Amino acid sequence: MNRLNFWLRGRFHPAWWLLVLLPLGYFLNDQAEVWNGIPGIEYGRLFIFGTAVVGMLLLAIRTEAGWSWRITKEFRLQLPGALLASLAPSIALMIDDDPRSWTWSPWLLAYGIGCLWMGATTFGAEFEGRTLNALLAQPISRWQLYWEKVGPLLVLEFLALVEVASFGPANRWYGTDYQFSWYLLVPPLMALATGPTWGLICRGTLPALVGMIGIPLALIWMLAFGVYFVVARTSGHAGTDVLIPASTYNTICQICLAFYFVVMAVAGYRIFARFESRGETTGGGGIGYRFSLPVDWLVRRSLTSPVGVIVRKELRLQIIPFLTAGLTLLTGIMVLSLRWIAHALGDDQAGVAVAARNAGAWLALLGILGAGTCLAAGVIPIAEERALGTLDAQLTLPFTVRRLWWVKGCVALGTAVCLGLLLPMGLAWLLFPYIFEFHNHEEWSLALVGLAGLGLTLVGFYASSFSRNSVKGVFASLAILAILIVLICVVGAVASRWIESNGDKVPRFEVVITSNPDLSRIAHGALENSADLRFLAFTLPSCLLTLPLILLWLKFSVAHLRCGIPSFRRILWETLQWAALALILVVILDCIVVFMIFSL
Amino acid sequence: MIALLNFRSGVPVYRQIVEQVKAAAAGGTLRDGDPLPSVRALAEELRINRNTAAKAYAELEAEGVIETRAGKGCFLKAGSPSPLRRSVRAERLAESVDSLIVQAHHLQISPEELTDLLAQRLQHFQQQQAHRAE
Amino acid sequence: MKTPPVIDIQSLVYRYDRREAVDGLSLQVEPGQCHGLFGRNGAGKTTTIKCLLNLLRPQSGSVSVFGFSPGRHEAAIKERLAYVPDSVAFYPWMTVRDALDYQASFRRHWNRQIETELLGRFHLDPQLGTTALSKGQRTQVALIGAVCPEPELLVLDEPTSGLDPLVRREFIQTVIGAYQDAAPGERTVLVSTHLISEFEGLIDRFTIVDHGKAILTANADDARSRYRRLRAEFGNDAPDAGAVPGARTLRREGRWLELMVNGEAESVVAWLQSAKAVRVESEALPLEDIFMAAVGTKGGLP
Repeated sequence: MNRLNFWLRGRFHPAWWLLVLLPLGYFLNDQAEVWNGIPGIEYGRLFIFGTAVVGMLLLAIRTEAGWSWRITKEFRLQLPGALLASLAPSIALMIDDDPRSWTWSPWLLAYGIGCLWMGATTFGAEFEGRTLNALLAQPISRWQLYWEKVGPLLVLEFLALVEVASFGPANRWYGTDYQFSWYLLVPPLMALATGPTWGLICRGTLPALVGMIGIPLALIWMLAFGVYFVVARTSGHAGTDVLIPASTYNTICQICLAFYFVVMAVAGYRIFARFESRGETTGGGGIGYRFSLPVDWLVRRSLTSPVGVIVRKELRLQIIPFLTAGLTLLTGIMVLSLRWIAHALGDDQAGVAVAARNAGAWLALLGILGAGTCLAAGVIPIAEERALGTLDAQLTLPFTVRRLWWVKGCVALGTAVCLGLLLPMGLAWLLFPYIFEFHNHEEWSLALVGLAGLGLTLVGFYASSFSRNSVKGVFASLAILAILIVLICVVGAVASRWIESNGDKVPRFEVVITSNPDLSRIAHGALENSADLRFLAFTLPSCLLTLPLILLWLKFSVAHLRCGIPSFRRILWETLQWAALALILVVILDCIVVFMIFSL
Repeated sequence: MIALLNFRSGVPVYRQIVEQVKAAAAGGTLRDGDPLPSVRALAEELRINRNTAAKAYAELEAEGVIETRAGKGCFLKAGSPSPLRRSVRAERLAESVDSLIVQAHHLQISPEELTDLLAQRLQHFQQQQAHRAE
Repeated sequence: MKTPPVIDIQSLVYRYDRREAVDGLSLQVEPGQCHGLFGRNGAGKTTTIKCLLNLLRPQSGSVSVFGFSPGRHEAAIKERLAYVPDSVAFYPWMTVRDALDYQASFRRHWNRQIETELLGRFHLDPQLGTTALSKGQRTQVALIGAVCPEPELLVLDEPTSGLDPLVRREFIQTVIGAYQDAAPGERTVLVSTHLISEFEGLIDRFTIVDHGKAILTANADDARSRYRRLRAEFGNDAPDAGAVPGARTLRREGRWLELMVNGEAESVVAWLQSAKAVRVESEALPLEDIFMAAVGTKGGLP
């Protein structure tokens, strides 16, 4: 076998090498630290990862045993999720190890979603790629097939856990915050126990992901509601904290969660053993189409023109946004009902009631669901049709491609606005009305959030135009966002460092602008805290630069819709074009800001 | 060498091959000692089942029309007289003649027309054989 | 001692929700034969085949492959057979070489020579990515993957749909030829198709399936000699032949009457002549026409 070919393009995908580089990166970043007197904990990570990669290499090289081929195929299938769970957090943490900084929540999110994604991919990817039929027809028992899929999942979840947890000692996470350690453990366990099962039930990766997140949420709600209600009723009065201390409540939650995991894990194998491949086991989320049916009923009468029929079909395609909208509604109902029951029983200080009033957590959840909805709404129109195989037929209808593109884009935007922005915002206003009282001109931050959501949709739409299916579209969108963030961070950091290094010129600035209260406030902030300056240097420009970028993406997406999936070279060329445009715009805007600050 | 099969004739496939080989031998297209395509090649060319081709060759060999030489394949057997007794051969021919008569009856061809046709076709075959011999 | 059939299906019933796809189908496939399963789209052929492989579990009836039940001895059965579905999908990052190696990883035995030979005959470049293959080429790769482990039974579901005529011819010549040549008499083929004329010569025995039932099982040669089509021209309007035993009216237009008979050609011809037919033409039927009569005519075959 051609050696070079093997290392670069063989079964062992080169991206796995990144896992080895992770611990090395930590060394390069010069962040080797001591925890509780144990020096160089990074050596442990290097050892674990080195073993893992060498193990995978050995698997790849051993060509005699059939199962090793299948295991490497499984690793290849799980690669995107593994990268999301292991790589994304590590890179963010290597850049900035301060838990209080802005990188903290996204990487936790990436880790959580990555772990769950791997669980959903186990069977979801087989359904979407239509390869399950062929797999079941092979001379191998279902038990062995199941373990050949779940085994690699186990290994990868463990690796992700070790990778992320190993940042803990250096950043002093452990020992103080019990909840945090919990958080690290829950995604891998949930993915292992419930991922394959949901993949089998929902027959797709994205619907499985929604199920994996949504049903435990619903169960937690029912549990909290049920326990609280039952105890309050039987005891005759409120004040459940007296009867059930918080720690017992937590234990009950953990036991129920463990029970849920065990039930789902066992159910997963049973479903697989008795699985019948009816129909073509096509991709496209068989279970999800029912969720978009209600909207179809509503609009059926009014949309009868040819364009109207296409709009209806587009709405039916938007399964994921409707699923997540359902989740969002469920969240809102959950919080409201918890509050209501606590209020009805006169126990506003009970643990559940307090939890229901914790704006930070619930708003974050609503925000995540909204963002996910916006992204999904953008990714689905073109990529999903490609996966279903109906796109070519669409292009032969008596419509211009441009008109079709407009219809798809408008439906995507409309769905994103209604289900991804208005619904979460409306729920947020319902649940926490006080955050909508604007004292400090904070409405522009809401507007920014709205624009960000729309931006996500349009990024997703562009990614959808060159992706083979929705899952690939989501990863492409994340890649585009990652490139943008890196560009903005790099340029913004350079600009802000330059501004800081030239701080001696600032006093002149102060004298001139005190007449304007807003500018004065910003300027004062700039003097005390360079974070505001950073905001000026890159957050604001990034919001402004997206408009030309979006126009460029939309122009590309029409071409892709017309001509089919472009070659990799073309995608690369387009990426270079918009990355260059982004860079230029950020530099120009930064120069303007610097000029404004220093020329006054 | 072997023409296409006719699925509309009602004659079993292996039988058609046997008849065609015999016709070729009788007409001079296949001469004594000529090689025949292997079973697999015949099956591929005619797009038939390998078993059918094998059955056809087995039948031909049983009737003494061809012979198999180990390692070399099938060849047309030199010298016409088959090892079967004359009466058996006549019996076999009588079967073919019977089916010919039935067919003629279906097509409403009278016995006189039939014998005329027979004489005509015999003459044609003899002419062909004489032509090939030149 | 009669060898047991390779496939033995008795009164198979499979229901999709409320619709019965297979309704009491019985089928036996003998070893060493090439058995055709003919039927229209939606007749229940694919469902039957899936029941053989434990991809579907029948509601009632018995299925036995090599004498074993697919529900209980799934892996043992599948080791001795190979299945090519009608729509083939590969993992998108694999090349042709990878896809074949992946298939080989499930099998104990893999004939590399046949693989190389067939790859050459189909002009397939092993380094080509599977996403770059046309539908026909994907089917070809799947066929190679099915023939190379040299199984005892080859189950093909619509193997030539979507293939151009040249490739169809190639398939029948090379794949089946390569498969059967190695161990004649032991290699069984079950082909499910609605392109009957393509497989006319290949089939030893066939079963016609319609609305989930097997309406005719016969040897190919037998059927071709038994079923005949009689076309009669009359002086006046053609009479109604509904009452004639052993004949089924295919068409009756003006002075022409077209009948289909099953082995009793003479008595029907006699009847036609007694009905004063001016001209009677008789022709034996190829399998395709038998099939069309079986599923198309009211009342089916005579």
